[in-house]
Amino acid sequence: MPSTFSGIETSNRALRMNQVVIDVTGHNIANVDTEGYSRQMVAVSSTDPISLAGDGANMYQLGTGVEASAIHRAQDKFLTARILQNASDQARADSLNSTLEKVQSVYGEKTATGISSLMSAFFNSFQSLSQNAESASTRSTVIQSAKVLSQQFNSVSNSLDTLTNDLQSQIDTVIGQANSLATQVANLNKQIAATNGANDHPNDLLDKRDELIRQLGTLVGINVNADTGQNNEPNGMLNITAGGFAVVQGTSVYNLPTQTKNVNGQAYLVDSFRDIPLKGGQVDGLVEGKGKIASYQSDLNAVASTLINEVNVRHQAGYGLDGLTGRVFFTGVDAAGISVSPAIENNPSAIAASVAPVTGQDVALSNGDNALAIADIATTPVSGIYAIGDRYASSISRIGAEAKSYIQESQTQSIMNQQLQSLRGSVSGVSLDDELTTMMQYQRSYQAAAKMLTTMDAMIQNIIEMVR
Amino acid sequence: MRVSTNMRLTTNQINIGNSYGKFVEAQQVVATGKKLNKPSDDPAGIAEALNIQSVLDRITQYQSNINQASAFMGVTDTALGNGTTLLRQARTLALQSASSTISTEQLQNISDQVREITKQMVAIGNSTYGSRYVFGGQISNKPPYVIDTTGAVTYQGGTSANNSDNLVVEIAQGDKMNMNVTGDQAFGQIFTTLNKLVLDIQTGNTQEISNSDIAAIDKNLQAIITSRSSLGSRVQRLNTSLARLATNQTSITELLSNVEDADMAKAALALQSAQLTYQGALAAGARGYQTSLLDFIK
Repeated sequence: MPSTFSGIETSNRALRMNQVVIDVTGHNIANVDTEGYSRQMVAVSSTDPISLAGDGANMYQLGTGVEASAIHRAQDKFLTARILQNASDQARADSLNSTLEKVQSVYGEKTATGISSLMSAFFNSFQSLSQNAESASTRSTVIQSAKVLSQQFNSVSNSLDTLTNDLQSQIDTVIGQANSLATQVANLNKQIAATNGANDHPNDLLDKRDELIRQLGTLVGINVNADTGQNNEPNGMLNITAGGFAVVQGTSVYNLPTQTKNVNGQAYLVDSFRDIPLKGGQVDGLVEGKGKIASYQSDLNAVASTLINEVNVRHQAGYGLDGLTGRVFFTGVDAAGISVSPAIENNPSAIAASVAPVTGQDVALSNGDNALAIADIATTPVSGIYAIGDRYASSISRIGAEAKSYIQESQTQSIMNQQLQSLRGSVSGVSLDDELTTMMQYQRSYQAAAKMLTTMDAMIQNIIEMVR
Repeated sequence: MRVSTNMRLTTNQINIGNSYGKFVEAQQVVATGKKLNKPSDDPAGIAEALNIQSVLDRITQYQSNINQASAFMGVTDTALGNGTTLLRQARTLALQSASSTISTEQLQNISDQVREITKQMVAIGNSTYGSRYVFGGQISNKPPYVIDTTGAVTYQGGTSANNSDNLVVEIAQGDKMNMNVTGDQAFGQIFTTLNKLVLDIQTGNTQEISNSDIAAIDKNLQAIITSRSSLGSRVQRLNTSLARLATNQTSITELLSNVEDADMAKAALALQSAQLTYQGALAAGARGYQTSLLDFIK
């Protein structure tokens, strides 16, 4: 015979189990909008039966009800890893996309103030000069157009410098954030390892850690491995490495450096001991962006120095209205430094429009042949098959092509992100409809168990009244 | 597939964001009329557009070169025409003075007229376009011909010997043309001839006039006419080049338009469809939030 009160005990367990499920449902509903939260489920199992002696030699087993044996989170580890990878890739593409967008606006092509059209205007002013070599106003026009052109070179070069500095300060900020996230992950490692020892499921801590790791992954491309500690058994902690550099090792954190370099298109973080290759993450995008700007700058410098050299070589061969020769037109060697030589700017007569020296009284003021030779630079291939304008245009085309490729990559990653998030949502997300259904279901069960309890109570009441 | 509450919201959010982005993009194309607004819109096209634009800029410059050259050459041509007329007058006078029945007074009168012609001829040699002396070659800032008190005329303009004769103008890419005629090319020894004629008339040397002076005038006349016809053929070349540039300009502008201009009909349709999609996403989003199990639990 079972104990008189075993029925009450069974109902009580049922009430408790229902209570737990309703509580977990409440927890799920409360976290419906929490980033990185995984819906939790209660594992419900029947409790061990008790064996009782029946009639004669028969034994029978009487069920003792139910218990909530564990609370799990609904999660797909493979999906979590894919989301991490995608977050890194997307952050890199987004960052490069935004950098190149800014680079494009710095160049301002195609507008009337772009280098391309200013260069046309510059060479055209020499065409006009060739026809009016003695005209002071045409000479001023040449100087003006040369000044505007060189200032645009200076301004583009400066703006690219500014962009580079902005990128570096962003890198500093992002590395700071990454190091702080790493510290938080290490702290959670510690807490999780402690609860893990007690064979517990610290679902919310795990969620929080996964979310922090995802955030860290958007900043720096990382690899995540389970920590096995000394006895080679998983202890619940996760180790994080970036390009082979241990960022989080159990409960220890190692800060990422903020120095950077680019070698053959690969971005690195650098400290005095090692180069850390970056793969993915916002930092990768920022460092690569710096590298790209540097290469655009060198393209721009090549165009500027070609312009300076070609114009100067021809200008030095010609003669000014004052009969002097051998003067340079531009000073400087690159886009940042190009400027109209002060000797020319302050003295328009010094522009060497003429190929002939001034001899005696026969001042050949209207000889514009050298101006024409300078104007011809516009259509003459310079060390190769491209004229200077084509070279510049092809460098702009390169920027456009790279910008386009990152716009596309950013879109692709964003679509992938959408799909992964929706897969994750499907596995781990909270559905209010589901939760409300569960709530109604277990509310009914709870009511039934309570009814059972009052019935038991009434039965015991009967027994007690019998003895009175 | 199991759908979480959040999925529904974020999917809507993303859909609305995406369709709004496309809507704005389509709007920009319609508003600017250009499909090429920045290099990444069409990386190959931007290089083409920049190159085409600089070709167009050059064409404009060549056109302005040609217009200026054309005006300059017009002045030159008029001057050469007047020179021809004057020289013909001088020839008529020379023929008159060579006649045996002419009186001394008449000879004096004729020599005065020839002197006057010489002065006018100097004025023609010193014709200007703007502030430039058109017959001065590269030395265009001072009058090419100077006449002294004795009536002797010297040429101080540019010469081929000094390499200061030609004013070169580029009228199309790589097509350079000399737009001027120097005084010594057009007028040659004309003033020596005229002065000798004056002297011969004054001294009544009719034999010298008919034997040599008239022939010299004819030679000079021929030289002017040759210069003028050479000038005329160059003006012809200018006009041909100008016409060709205009044709090129039209076809190249069309090329540029192909690269950078949007097809407005297509762009307008794209805008309309983007707008529809955007409105659809908004409507779907708003409707999606309306129902849940909560509405049915009492």
